Parts: sequence; structure tokens; C-alpha cells
Amino acid sequence: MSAPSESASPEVGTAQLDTATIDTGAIVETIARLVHEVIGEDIDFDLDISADSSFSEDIELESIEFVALGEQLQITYGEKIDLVGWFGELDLDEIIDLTVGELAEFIAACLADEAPAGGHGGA
Amino acid sequence: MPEVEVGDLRVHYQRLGQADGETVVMLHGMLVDNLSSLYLTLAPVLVTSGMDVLLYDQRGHGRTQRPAEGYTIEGAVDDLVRLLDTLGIDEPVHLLGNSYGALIALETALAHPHRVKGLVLVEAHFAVEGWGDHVAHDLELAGFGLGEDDVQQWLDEFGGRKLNRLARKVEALIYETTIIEDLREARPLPPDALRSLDLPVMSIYGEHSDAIERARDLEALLPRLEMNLFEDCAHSVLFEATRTVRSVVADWFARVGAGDEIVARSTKVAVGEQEGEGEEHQEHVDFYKAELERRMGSAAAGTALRIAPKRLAADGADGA
Repeated sequence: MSAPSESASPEVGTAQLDTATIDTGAIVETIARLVHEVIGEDIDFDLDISADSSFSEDIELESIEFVALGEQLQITYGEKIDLVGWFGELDLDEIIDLTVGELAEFIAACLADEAPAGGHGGA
Repeated sequence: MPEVEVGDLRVHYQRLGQADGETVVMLHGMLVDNLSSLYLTLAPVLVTSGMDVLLYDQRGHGRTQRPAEGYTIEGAVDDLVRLLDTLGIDEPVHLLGNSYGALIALETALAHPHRVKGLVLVEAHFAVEGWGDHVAHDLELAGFGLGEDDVQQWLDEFGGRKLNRLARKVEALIYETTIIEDLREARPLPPDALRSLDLPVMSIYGEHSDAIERARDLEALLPRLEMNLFEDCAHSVLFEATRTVRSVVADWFARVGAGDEIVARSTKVAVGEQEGEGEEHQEHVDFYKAELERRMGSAAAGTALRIAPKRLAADGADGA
């Protein structure tokens, strides 16, 4: 119940907004850090998160934890990231099967102010 | 993670969409469910339609506290109304519930008609004669199943983190709270109450749902009901045909929002090519349920069943 919302460092997102090109690798790192924060004390295994990690298969994130992660990402990257709108374009299976890299690409696309393409990450 | 104290209960909630839009409160199902299922399926379409969407984890579920008591239907209605009060939501709201959440939505509309302006009921159960015993039995069955050695062994070997966390939560709700006794006491909804429910109601059922008799009851009793019967789906219609449910729900709120008059009608809804297969799913559920019934029957040997939480002490000792 101790969501570390205040400790989510907004400077990561701010720094990326300043750069001309969005560094997807840095977003992956931010997602990995936030996943650890969301899962919290329950991590009892060595969780190595990369762009290829699937939230469901590899990280085994519960849906309610995925919602908490989305909330942290919203705090970190701001209103430009329309995660909920994106979820509405995907099937439940597609959301559950998302990888960290696909989520990072979506965030990068939002930050770059591109209209997120329809089938983004939903393959 | 937004939380609010509602009486003695700390409630986790999420609020999305337009603060000045009409409010829709979403109510998830029982036991294995929490707000995430509606957050990922139906909340997005209502946010896109400019509505104010409130989702919360019910007592004992998700990230809301799990006190030992207070799991009656009246208690759940009370939790909802007090949550609205606490958040300062005075205007009548739309309620959208799935399964047990739909039951709570319906009961809230009957107990507090001035707080509710419309209902969306997905796979609504509601209390009829014998329902309390039936749901208490199903919860006992779930608890019994989780205590079985082969189930625990499977969870240990193949369940992984996610399923094991879910199993622990279900165990805790069944073993450490009064949910079974509370729901056993549920009183049947009087048919006259349903006849007098003067609200626009939209309901969705899978044609193979085990709650299909409730669909027939609602059709017979509710004066302003739009019934949508989904082909090739069962009780999990929200997950079996998410896209089609989304479009039916979006269409409903567009029409209700435009002030269209809602009259009783019944529609058969075809689902997408990738959707459905609910009958197959229901057969799996029935198969495992029958197997557990058989085992629990021989374990109880005709005496009153006492759930033996044999694994619970071990889990606690592990500090898990």
C-alpha cells in the first residue's frame, strides 16, 4: 500500500523533453525502475528487465500493478502520454502481452509529439 | 496511488477523464477481480467520450484494505455511497458493473434511487431464492480447491508469481473474512422492486452464461431495459468480446448522453472473428467445478463443511 509516488523522479522525463531525439533506451530504464518500485518488497527473484521483457510472461506483473505502473509513468512523463486512450485501442490480450520496449516506443512517440500510430505495439 | 478513507476502510480508487463530464462509477467482480479489469477494457472508451470515470477496488479486493467483516450486499452498497460522499460526488451517477459488481450497481439503484441516473449491467447476478447459499457454496468450493495438495503443487511448480499472488489473495478473502457467512445471508430481491426501477438500464449477457436466467428475469421485470445477448460468449463476456462490449457501451452512453429515450428492447449481438468461444470456456469451468464438487463431497462426507486452510499457516511462516 506504500506507493512511492513522490519518489518517482520527474527529471528523467523533463530531461528527455529537452532533447531533440527521444532516447527510447532511457525510457526503458525508467520503466524498469518504476516496475521495481511498483512491485516493491515482493521482488524475491532477480528481475532483469530489458526492452524485450513482456510484462505478463517475463515480469509477471499483475494487472493491478500494471495500472499502478501506468500511474507512475503518467506522473513521470506528464499529460502528453495518453496511456488510457492507447489501451482503448488494444485488446486485453494485446495489453497483457506488451513488452517494455513497445511501451517505451509508445511513450517516445507521445513525447516526440507524433500521433501514436493505430497498431502501435499491438502486433 | 490515490486512496481515501471511507469510514474505517482505506479505499484505492482511480479517477480518469473529464472532471466536468458525467460521472460513471465502475464496479468490478468478486474474489479474483479488481479495478484493473474495467480500467483496461471499458474505462478508456468512456474517457474518450468525455466522461468522468471513477473506478475503485471493493472491500477486500485489489489494493483496498481487507478488513475481517462487512462483506454483505448492504455493506458493499454502503461502501459505494460513502465513497461518493467522501469524494463530494452529489449528483446522480451512472453505475457500470460486471458480475457481482453489477449486482451491487442494481442494489444501489434500488436502495438509493436519487444517487443513480442509469445502469450498465454486464453479466449481472442478483439475489434470488437460494442465491446466498449458492454463492457461499461456490466460495467454499474455491477455498477447498486452493487447499488441495495437487492444486498447491501445480501453483508451486507452474503458477509463477502472478497466479500465486492471486491465490494468496483469494485464500485470505475466503479464510480471513466473513465473506462466506455475509453473502449466505443475502435476501432475494423482491420482483416488485425491480418492476418499479424507473431508470434507463442496459445489460449485456453471454448467451452461454451461467447467469442467463437472471437475464430473463431482468427482461421480464425492468421497465426500461435494453438487453444485449452476445453470441458465442459466456459469463466472461467482457474478456471474451472486449471490443464488441466496448462499442455497445460507447453507443449506449452516446445515446443516453444525447437524451434519447430508452425503451425496452432485446438484441442479439454478433461478436468479432477473434472473439467469443465462451461455451468452450464455460465447459472447462464446469468440468473443474464438478471435479471439486466430487472431492469436497467425499471430504465433507455429509457433515457440515469446515474449510481447512492447511497451506495458509505454511505461507504465513514463509513470510510470503
